[in-house]
Amino acid sequence: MKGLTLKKNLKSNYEYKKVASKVAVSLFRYAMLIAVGFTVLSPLFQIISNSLKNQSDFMNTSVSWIPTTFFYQNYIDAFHVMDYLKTFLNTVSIMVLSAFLEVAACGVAAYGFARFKFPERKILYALLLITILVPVRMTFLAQYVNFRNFDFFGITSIIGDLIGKDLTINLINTPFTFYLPSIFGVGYQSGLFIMIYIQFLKGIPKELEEAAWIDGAGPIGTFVRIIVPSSSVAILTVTILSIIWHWNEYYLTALYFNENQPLAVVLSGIMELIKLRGGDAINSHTGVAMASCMLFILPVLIMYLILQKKFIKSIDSVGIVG
Amino acid sequence: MKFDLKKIVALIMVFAMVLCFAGCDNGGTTSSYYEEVPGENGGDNGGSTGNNATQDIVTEVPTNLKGTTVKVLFWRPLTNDEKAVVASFEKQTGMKVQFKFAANAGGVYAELISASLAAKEGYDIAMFNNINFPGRPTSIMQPLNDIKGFDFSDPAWDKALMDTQKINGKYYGVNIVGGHTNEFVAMYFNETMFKNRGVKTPRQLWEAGNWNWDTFLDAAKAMTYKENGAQVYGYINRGTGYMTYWLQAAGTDFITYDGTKFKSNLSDAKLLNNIKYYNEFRTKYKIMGDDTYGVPHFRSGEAAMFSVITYAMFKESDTKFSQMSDTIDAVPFPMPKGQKQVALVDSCLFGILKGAKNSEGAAHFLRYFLDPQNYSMSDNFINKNLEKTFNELAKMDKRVSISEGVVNNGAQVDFANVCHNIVLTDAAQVTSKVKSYATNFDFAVNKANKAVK
Repeated sequence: MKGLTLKKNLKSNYEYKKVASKVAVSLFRYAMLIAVGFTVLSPLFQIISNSLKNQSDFMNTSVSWIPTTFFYQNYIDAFHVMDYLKTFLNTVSIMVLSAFLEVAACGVAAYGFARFKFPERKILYALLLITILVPVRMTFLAQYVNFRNFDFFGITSIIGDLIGKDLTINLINTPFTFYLPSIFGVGYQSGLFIMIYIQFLKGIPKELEEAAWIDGAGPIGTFVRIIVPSSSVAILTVTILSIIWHWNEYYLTALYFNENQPLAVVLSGIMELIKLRGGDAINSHTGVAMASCMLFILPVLIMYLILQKKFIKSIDSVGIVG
Repeated sequence: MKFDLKKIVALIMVFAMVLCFAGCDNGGTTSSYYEEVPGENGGDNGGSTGNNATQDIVTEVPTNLKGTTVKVLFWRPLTNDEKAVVASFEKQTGMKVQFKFAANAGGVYAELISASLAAKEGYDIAMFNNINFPGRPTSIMQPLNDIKGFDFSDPAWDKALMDTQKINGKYYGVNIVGGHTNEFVAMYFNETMFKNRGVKTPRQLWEAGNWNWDTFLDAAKAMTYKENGAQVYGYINRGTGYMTYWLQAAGTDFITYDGTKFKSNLSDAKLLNNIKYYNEFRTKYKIMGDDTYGVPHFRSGEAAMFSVITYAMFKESDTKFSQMSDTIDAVPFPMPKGQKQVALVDSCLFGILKGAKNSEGAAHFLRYFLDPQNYSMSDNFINKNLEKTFNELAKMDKRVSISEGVVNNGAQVDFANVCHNIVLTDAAQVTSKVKSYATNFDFAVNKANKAVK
């Protein structure tokens, strides 16, 4: 009897410890998640908080996270300073369209790499890797010169020489500085997107294509009718990444566009713009700058919230991270 | 046959991708994409005054320049005042001025200059400052002394400033005395706080001819106190990197330049003593807080004095001193007792690019564009005292720190980080800390010396 009670006590003690350790582990896990979550999100919280502060809140060092009054005027000022509607349309017409062109072109290039065997394949694959490894800052000069005096494969200048006229075209300040590289699969981060496509295409059974060939479809027909419909997951991943990266790009756009700039360029020079367009009339330069940041990320944030589930699913399927 | 077709399709797809990647220089071009500066509709602030002095400048422009174009690479978009001045110049001279600017306010200015030169766009004017010296002027700009249109006997040119960045006796950049692009270092102070404590203000000391390091320290000590449990400091700096103001004021610096040669001074006892003196603000006298960014503390009345460049004197400045309920004022940065007062400067000089197509027109344009008489600067100052100090600083001899540019261009260390590390080192360790950068600094100095040879 005594032995049985002891056994019972030991068991309950053991269970108690088990539950306690489970609770401790859970608590630790939650504490870690909250800490990491806060670290990641605190800049965003800070931006939101600062975008709603007026100048007296900024001058009062005791005001940290919560403004004394929610100063929405910062958003109205930011809207005017950024010339938001016009700049937003510029971003969509230049960067987003360029992103879509890139998605299409990279798919075609990746199909070539993934499905066709030819002697130069390895060399070209190595060159593809180089396009990922070489930073934009090393190639911008050559690209700028190319776009400034655009000469399609040297043909334009040959004709120009023959007729005694300079026929090279100045593409600077036009969306073609982004469209053309995107169309030819060498746009912003194209190398990476081609790699993503290649990885995905390798997983599609060849039998599907063979069936299409037997039915008389050529390579282009097979790509359009078989590969594209089967690759929606990869297409979605590449589309979202391409749009986000194009949206955030400001280095090349600042060089190529002296007028009609997209949002990222406007945002990167926002303090100067606030001074030029608002000056003393603006209550808080920092507040307006922070509100501009919010207006910049808002469209992408909305897009991401809508596509969140599909995006996470697609990221799982193509096996890449962030 | 089928295999061949596949091969051709594949090759086209991948070649299209690779070929477009290659950039090739195709020589000059005639088409233009520059932003045209607006004509008479350009400005709405009435920046152009068109007074007699500037009228003379315009009449000196040779008539053969009429119809020519001056091309300027600017580091930021133009202000309305600047647009009006450009429009006025165009109207009076018959010349055209085309601006191209770094769309993100300086962020890609260096790249923009490189790209424009590589594309042979024929720009005439670009800007450099002490942070780009000697790299930018020696590599892409031409000496100005022999360029037609520059008359250096004209007292308007700020030779005191231009001399600081002369190379082998020749000017590479110009600016005008009191011009709107000038930035001087000033000691700002909260006059209300001084008056409330009954302490002599820096202005009173300055006007009595008794403003120096010793009186600064006394004032800072008197203004360091606790109020309702909150610490108030006598002084706060713009950031740790700005220790250089104090070194410059004493006539020392990590790297100095005598017009022909750069020299590293890391073993100089005077330099080390000055660094220790600055460190003692925090460690010994406790007149200065540890904060690396002083603007909010000065604004909120947690510090009585603050050093920053003169941009904070203007209403539109993001420092927002204009919105302080207390009265603020500024005086020139203090010098060690017995030393001649000079103005410490963040320089901004305009030079003529190599390969410029209209250097003579550019010279005349710069003389007009930079002239303070063409701008209504007076309306933009927060108060009259600040304007007075700005004008006094403009007339003084100038001193520029070139250390940052030389170090960042060749020392493989970041100058701001170097200063930050030195400032936060205990006074006893300063010497060894400073000397630990000797190899990097020597390397940078050699590189700079080769550039100016």
